[in-house]
Amino acid sequence: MRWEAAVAVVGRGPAGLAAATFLTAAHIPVVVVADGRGTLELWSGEWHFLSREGLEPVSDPYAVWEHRPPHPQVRWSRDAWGVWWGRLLDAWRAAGIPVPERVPSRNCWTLGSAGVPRPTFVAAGWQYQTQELEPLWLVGFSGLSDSLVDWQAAEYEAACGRDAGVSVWEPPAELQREGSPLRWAAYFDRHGVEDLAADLRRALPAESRGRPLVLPQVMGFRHTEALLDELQRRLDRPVAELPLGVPCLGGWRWQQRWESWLTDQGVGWIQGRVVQIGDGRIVLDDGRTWRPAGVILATGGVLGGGIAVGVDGQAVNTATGDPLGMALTAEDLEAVGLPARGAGYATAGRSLAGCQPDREGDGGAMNVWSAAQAVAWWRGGAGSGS
Amino acid sequence: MKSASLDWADTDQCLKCNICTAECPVYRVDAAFPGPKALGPDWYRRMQAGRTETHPHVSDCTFCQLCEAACPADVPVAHLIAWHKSRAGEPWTRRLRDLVLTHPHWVARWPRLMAVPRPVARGLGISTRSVRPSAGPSTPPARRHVAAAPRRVGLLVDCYSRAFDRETVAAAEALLGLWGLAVIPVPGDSQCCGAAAYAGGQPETAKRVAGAMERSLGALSPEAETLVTLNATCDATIREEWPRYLGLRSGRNVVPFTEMALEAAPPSFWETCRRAPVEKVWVHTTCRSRVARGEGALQQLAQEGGGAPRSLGLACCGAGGSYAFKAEHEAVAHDLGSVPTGIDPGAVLLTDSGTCALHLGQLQAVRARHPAWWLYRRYRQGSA
Repeated sequence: MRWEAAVAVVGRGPAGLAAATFLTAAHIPVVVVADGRGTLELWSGEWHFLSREGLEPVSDPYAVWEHRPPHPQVRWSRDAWGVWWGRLLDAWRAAGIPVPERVPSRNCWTLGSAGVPRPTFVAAGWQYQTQELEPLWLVGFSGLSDSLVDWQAAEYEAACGRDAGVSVWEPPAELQREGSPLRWAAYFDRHGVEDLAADLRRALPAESRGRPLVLPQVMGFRHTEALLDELQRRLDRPVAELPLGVPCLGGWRWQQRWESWLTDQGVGWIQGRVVQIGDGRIVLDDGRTWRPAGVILATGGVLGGGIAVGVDGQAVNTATGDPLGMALTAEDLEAVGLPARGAGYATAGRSLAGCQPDREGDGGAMNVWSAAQAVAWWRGGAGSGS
Repeated sequence: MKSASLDWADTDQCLKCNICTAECPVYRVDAAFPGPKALGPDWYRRMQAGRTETHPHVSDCTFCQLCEAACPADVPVAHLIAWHKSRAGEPWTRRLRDLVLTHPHWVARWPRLMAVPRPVARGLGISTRSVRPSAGPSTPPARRHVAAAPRRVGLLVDCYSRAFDRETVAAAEALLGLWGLAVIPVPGDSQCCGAAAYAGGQPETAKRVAGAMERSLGALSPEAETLVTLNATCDATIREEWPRYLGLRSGRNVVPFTEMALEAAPPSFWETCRRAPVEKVWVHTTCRSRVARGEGALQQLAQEGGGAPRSLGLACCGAGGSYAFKAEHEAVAHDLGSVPTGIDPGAVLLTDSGTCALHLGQLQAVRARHPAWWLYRRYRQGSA
C-alpha cells in the first residue's frame, strides 16, 4: 500500500470530502477511508451557511456569524468564510457541479420537498433558487412518488403568498408504473425529454408564461444539465428541479462528480472499517494496516455508527445519542470501538461544537469550518482561518 | 467491507433508507428488477415469517456488491440476495449451461466450450450478443530476473487469464521477477475460486469447487505468505467470501497485483517506465475491487508508470463474470456497459478483470487490458 505519505480522512460524508478537498488544494496527499457511502444522498445537494435565527429566515448569514455567532467557538471573519467557501466552490466547479462562480454575498431561496421556501447558501444550478420569491408554475409527474404537486403548490402559496400554478404530466405507460425517482431519472437519461417537452408545450396554459417551471428532481443521473437546457429551450422559460425525499438525486449527483474529480486529483479511496487508530497506525477490520501521515476523523455519522466529537472533547454516539464522555482519551474511544492509543488526530463534522444543524440550518458552514480547522491543525497552524 | 455475516436473524438492521437501491446499477436499467432492498433484507424478513416465495428476477442481480458497500447499517445485502437466488433455482433448460458457467475452470481447460455455434448457443441460453472470449496471442517469452535470495510469492492464475490472456500472466510473472520476487504460479492446473457459482446462487457448488482450490493453495510453499491476484473477483472471493460464507481459508495474505506493484516495484523501475512517452490511459476500477479495497490504486499505478489516467466513471460494467454470457441477462449487461463515458474509441483502458475487459472492449470500443500487461509494455518501451 502506498498511502503512508497521505493524510487519512476517515469518513466520506460532506465533512470528509471537504477536508479531502482542502488538503488536495494544499497539494497534500489524501486517502479517504470509509465503510459506507456517507450522507450526501440524504440531501438534495445544497450547502447551508446559516438559514435561521430562531424561526426567522436569515438573509445575511455573514452578519449573524460575525455579530451573534450561533456557536461561540466559531469566530471567523467575513473574509475567512469567503476564502474557505471559495476553495470549495472552485473545486466543485472543477468537478462539474454547477455552482456559482463567486461566493454568494447572501442566502437565496430554494424549495423543500413540501414546496415550502427556505433559505440556502449554495445550491446546484439544477435546483430551483431565486433571490426574490415569485409566482411559479409547478409540474407534477403522474405516478411518481412524492410528486404531490397540489399540496406543494398550496404549501408554497401559504408560506409566501405568491401564486403557484399546477400542471400534471401523464408519462408513457411504462414510466407511470414506476413510483421510484431513481427509475424516472434513469428513463430521462436514456430517452431524453422529447415527449415531456412536446406534451408541456401543448398543456401549459397561457397564464404560466413568464413563470419559472419547477419539476420534480428526477431529471437524470448523468445528463441533468443537458436535459434541463433542452426543456428550457423548447419551453422558452427557466426550468429547474424541486428536491424530493431520500435518496436524493441532487446529493447523489454531487457526490459522484465530487468524488470522481478528487480521484482524478490523486485522492485514494479505501473501502473498509477502521477498528483502531493508535501508535501512529490505522487498522482496518480486514487486517490492512498502515502508518498515515495524519488522521482526520470525519465520522460524525448522521446515519449512525459514528461519533460526534465536540471541540470541547465531549463525544456523543450519534446512533444512540448517548454521551460517551471525553473523546480525546484512549479509554473513551475504546468504549465506542475505536481505540486510539496516544494518537494525534483532528476531527471534522457538522455536529462539532454542540451544533444542531437541523435546527439552525448551518450544517454546511460547520462542515466547512471544522474541515478547515482539522486541516489547519494537521498542518501545524493555529486554525486561524486563513 | 462489512463485519456482518448471515447469522443475522436477531439483528435485522435494515434502516429502509434505500441507499442500496440508489447505488444499484441494475435497478436503473431493468424495470423488472425490484432492487437490492426488496430482494435482500425485505425478502429475508418475509422468509423469516415463513413465506418461501422467491422473486422471478432475483437472478438479474450482477452481484457487484455496491449495495452492500453502501449500506450504513452493515446489512449483508448482496449476500442475502445470493441466498435468495439459491432458493429460487433455475429452469431445467438452463441447467446444462449453468453447469458449465459455474465451473469456469472447465472452460479454461477446454476453451472450445465457449466456442459453440450461435444456434446451439441460443438453444442453451447463451447470449449471442455478448462477445465470448477466445485465446489471445501466444505468450511472449518472459524475461526472468530473480534476485539471489528472493522473497517468494504465489501468483494466482485465474481460469480466465489461464485460458484467454496468457500475455497478462506472462507480464505479471516477468514484472514480479523484475522486482526481486520468486514467483510460484498457482494452482498447478485450472481451478476456480467459486465466485461464479456463488454469484449464480449455487453456494454448495461454490464451496466444492473452491475447496479444491483451497487444497491446492495448501500445497503451496509455506514461505510464500503472499498470494498475488490478477482478477479482482477472485481476489475478493478468496479473501472475503471464503472465510465468511464458504468456511474456507487461503492461509495467505491475498493482495491484488496493482497493490503489489505499488509496494514492491523499486523507484528505478518506475523511472524506466516513465522514460516511455506519456500515455493517456483510462481506468476502470471494477465493482468488486472497489467494494473490497477501494479506488485509486489503479490510478496511482498508471501515474507512476508514466500514464495520464482518467477514470471511466462506471459503477458496474455488467460483465459480472458469466452474467453477460447468459441470454436472459444480455440486455441488462449491454445497457450497463454501454453507458456513454466520453472515452475515445481505441483508447487503452486498464482494468483488473478479464471478463470486464472483454465486455468493456466490446461495448466501449476500446483496448481494455490488464494493468500488468500495460506496465510490462511501458517497461519494455522505457528500456528500449
